[in-house]
Amino acid sequence: MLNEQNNDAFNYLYDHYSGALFTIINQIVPDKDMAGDVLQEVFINIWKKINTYDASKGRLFTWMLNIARNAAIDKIRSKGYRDNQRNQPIVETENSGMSMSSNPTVSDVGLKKVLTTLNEESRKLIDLSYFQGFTHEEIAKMLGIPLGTVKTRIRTAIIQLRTMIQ
Amino acid sequence: MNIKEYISSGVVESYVLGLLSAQERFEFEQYCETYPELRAARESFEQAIEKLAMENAVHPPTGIKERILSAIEQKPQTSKIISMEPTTPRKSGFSWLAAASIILFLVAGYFAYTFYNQNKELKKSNEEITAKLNSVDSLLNQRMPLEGDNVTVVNMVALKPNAPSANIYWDTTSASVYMLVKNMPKLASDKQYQLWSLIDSNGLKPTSLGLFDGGQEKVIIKMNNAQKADAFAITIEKRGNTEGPDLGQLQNMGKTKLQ
Repeated sequence: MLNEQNNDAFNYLYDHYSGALFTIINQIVPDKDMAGDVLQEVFINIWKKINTYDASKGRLFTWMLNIARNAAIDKIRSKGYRDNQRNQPIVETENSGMSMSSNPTVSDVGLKKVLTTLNEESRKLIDLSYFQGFTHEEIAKMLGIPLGTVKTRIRTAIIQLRTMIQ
Repeated sequence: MNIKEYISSGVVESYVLGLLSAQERFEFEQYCETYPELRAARESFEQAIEKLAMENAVHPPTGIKERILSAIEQKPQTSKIISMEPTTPRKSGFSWLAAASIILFLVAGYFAYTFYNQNKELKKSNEEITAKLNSVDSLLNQRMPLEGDNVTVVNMVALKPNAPSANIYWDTTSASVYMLVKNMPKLASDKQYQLWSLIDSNGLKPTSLGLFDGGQEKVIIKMNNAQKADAFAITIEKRGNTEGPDLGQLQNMGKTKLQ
């Protein structure tokens, strides 16, 4: 149950962070309404798990961002979502996630915008691992390159990313 | 380890973005406790990501906040609401009979299935209880000295919020050490708890008294003997650890003498 003090805390969290979290969710789940549903789920989760947040492991925003990213990836990987997508007209290739440019509904802001400055390969790797949540093993299989190569290339891409953000 | 190389390897960014494996993440958090410059690098990338995300914030659809508020204001509901679709009634006496017989059949099936499962579970728990009794028996047969003048009882003081809860019974004559586990939180499958004896005069040199798994409660475990001990300590280590204790993962400590 929310008491008044908690209510203020919730209002603060929501008013302050919902926009930033919504952006990242919407970049993973392109449908706005669906992304809204995920945002709702994310805030309920944040609220339930707030006392497991450990400040020694990172900032509050990082913690919330990871909850949001994981929830969004869970959504696009859920059976219901994939079945629904199958019924939609296919815009481009079947594995549309393989190319960044194939999804025109995703707004090119934030991290995604920074990504556009990377070369094609780095962009693809970050997209697959960060925005689509594939493990290094899955990416190696998907692209037919050795696991070690995937790991080093992702690290390299991430280092490039850092210099662009900071 | 070369911390500068580690910091510039991309591990900091991968950690913040949630791209590390559980093992790598754990390592990173361990190093963060030791190296302030690693923490600083993490903090700085976190701030950059946060800034970038805040600058690109997009208003979520309206009404979501209200939906969340009403969801968290209510007690969590475990039951789902199933909407009943109106069906067109059929005018046949036979369908009632058919429906009744199907229901009867389903109910009978349900009971048969439940009883079968219950039986299976009872058998299983019976076996578990027998196994527990056997292990308690074997301990009792060793005449475990949980009481007596020569037994020192050490209450292990928790140093971490999720620390295990245990007492050590140390028989100073026979040097036997028993640990009464009240509660041991589960650990990742590649981790184990480890009990150490510490000796003051030795600069608190730790000696391993054995590794044991988490996820146990209310059990007694016989540990390795300790001839001498000024304190006992429990740490979390990698499974089968053969090295010294990871003091950053010190969970409990208890002194053998009152001061």
